[in-house]
Amino acid sequence: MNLRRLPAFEIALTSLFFVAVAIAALAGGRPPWAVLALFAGLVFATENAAVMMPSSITVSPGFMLEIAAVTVLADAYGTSTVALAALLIGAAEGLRVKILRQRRWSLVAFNFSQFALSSGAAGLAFSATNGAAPGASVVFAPLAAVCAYAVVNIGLLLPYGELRYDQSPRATWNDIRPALPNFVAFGLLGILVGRMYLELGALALPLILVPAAIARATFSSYLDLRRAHDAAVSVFVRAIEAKDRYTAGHSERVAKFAVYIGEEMAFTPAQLEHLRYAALMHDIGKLAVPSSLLNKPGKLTPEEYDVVRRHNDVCIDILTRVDFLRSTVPAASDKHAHFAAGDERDDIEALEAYAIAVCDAFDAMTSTRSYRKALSQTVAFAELRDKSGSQFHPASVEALIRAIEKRGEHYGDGFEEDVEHFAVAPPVVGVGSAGLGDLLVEDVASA
Amino acid sequence: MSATDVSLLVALGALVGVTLTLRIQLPRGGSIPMGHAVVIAVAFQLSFAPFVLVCASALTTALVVSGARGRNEWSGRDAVVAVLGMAAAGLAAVAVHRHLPVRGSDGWAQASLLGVMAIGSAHVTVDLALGRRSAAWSWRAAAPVYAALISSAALIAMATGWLLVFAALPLMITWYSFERYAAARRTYEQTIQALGIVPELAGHVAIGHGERTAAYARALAIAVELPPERREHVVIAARLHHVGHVAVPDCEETRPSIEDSLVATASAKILRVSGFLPEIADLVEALAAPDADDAILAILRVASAFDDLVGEAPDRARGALAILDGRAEGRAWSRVVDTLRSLVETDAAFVESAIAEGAPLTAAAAAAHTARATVAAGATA
Repeated sequence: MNLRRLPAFEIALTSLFFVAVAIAALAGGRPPWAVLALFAGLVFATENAAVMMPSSITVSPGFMLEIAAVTVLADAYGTSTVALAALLIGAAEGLRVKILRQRRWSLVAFNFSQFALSSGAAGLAFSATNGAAPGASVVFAPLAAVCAYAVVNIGLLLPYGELRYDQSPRATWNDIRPALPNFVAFGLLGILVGRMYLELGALALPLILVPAAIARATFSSYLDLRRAHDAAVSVFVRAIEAKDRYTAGHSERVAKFAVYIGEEMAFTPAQLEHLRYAALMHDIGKLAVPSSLLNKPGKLTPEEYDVVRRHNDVCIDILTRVDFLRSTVPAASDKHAHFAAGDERDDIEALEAYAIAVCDAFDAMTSTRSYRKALSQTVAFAELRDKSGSQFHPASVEALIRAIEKRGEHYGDGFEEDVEHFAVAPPVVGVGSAGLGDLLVEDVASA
Repeated sequence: MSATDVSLLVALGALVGVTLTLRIQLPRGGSIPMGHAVVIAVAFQLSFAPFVLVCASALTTALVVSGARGRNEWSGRDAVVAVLGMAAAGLAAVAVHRHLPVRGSDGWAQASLLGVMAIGSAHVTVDLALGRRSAAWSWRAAAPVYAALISSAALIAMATGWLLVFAALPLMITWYSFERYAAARRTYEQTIQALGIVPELAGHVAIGHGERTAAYARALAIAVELPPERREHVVIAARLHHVGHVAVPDCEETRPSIEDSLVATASAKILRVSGFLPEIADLVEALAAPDADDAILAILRVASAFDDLVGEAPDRARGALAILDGRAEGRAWSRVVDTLRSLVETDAAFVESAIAEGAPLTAAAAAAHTARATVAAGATA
């Protein structure tokens, strides 16, 4: 290990850990090593088998076992044993085999120290509050331990995010905030696991952990299934793009914009996920239309139009059979996606359809198509605002504009990512702006 | 027993009855009642007479709740199996109570755990021996659920006071995790089905071909005893083997056949680029090579070709088998054709039920195809 590559923050934390262990060992009582080893081993195993949700900071079940250990040790062996035991069990929580194998020593040092110090703080808080009132060891002291753990844990993560990942404390806090209820939930569970241990002995642990391990395995399979489902949706998107290569990346962009709107409108994570799937699939109707008609340069004959319409009907029939696609029906059918003033709905299905319609139009305007070059973002925003309230849902329009401006992103002429090169250069303005009608040169100039 | 005791036991029975109607869905089909754990725990906690009263109340409640939901979950046989399972648990509990040390004494917890396992084994054995099990039942999937049920039963049986509420939590977490998985699986399967229908909607493949092929492939996979995971791959590959049609330009399309290497290659490419299960992409790609013949490919080839020949007319089944026999001569998949023949001959409704599965589209589909044909005829004229 190259010590010079260890940053100062991690060295300071590790030193603090060893000082804390020394003080706890000298000042406090010796914990029972068998119980300590049992809990440390379980915490280590739990942490290394944890199923992590993608891109989120979570509070793991290891924390639950730490609180359980503190409860058991304080009750059965005296509060003087708690601080040292908590420090050592916390250190076990910070040891991740995967990170050790990757030889990311500074992360190893940080995890090891911050979990140990958080856990040690929990032990100290428990010892300090235990006996403060009759029955305090049952609820009050463990809750104090949970709070102390959360405060130290978060207090160390905030500067670490800034130092190592250039992430502002506010941004780190925003990541952590959704996980705060987990501290309470796992903390309460930890108290209960501890009480079960005290009631039934060590036998309680495997009885609790067997169902937990099976639930964990099922959850892991669930995550695998979600990945497979994402891939299946991706097959749809590829198929749509294979059918109409001039709209490459359109579905993904519409999905991204739709999530922007959903976030602005405070959709729940589950609603956001649903909205993303629906937006990815909003062009599914194209798959039912023969390629010859989809890419026909001129107007469709009445018979051809009938074919398109009937295929669309079948497509809608299919969509209604798939739970998560049902909300794409308005977008796919093009019947109800457009906002109608005075007939506004506020249910989630309608909001999804309104959001997708706005995003579809915005991406159509800011992408180069065979019939028209990409418009600038300013023109597209102006067009959306112009039709807001008559054709588009006003809140969705403002949410999209606000989200894009907040992120400082730019789309449209000069900022296109997937530029398709056409044999005949498309005109600067023209028809077909996602149902917006003809855009004239004057409109663009005046926007 | 006082009237209050009886009332409490009846109420407890009602609670047990509700848990009997909650079923833990196994990943690849089949389910196990969550109430097994509660029955085992109650058998351990109570003496025989109160246990009988609780069971009577539980069964009544389960039948009423199940009936009110309008589901056909509890047949007469299920009720009989439940009664026998409860009787086995009750009798095992009587034997256990004779040997159990006093609560709180040394070794009580260990002895109790063994006792709960004995009661659980008696109850579960009856259920496994006499209960209904679907074709998709898998011991590998069921074993962890039984382990979770018996662990939870032990916790509930041994806990007292307010800890009793917490003791049920692991059981609830197990049930919830399987429910969540089952819901995700339903969505996934619907997506695969919808994906398989796309080339049919676009008129590249006969309507219902994917679903019918999947039905034949599933039956063949079960008949040749493929493991559940491979069985599932065969069914997904059967549904998606023609998805590549959408990527093949109209002018290059030849005929809707599984041997169309262009479509198979395009399908595999779409599946691979999308990061879909690599096993499925490999399977679909292997279909492009006419000489590649393993058991799974043979199932896919035979199922798809059989549907190409039979379509929606079950009376063509025998003729189709004769044609396949001729094609299979000297090839590795002749055994699969024999298996298919035995399935057709043993079950008179085999082809009809596959056709029913392959009819997910409404009259709109037929109308769409008629309109397409009219335009095509007009263009030719």
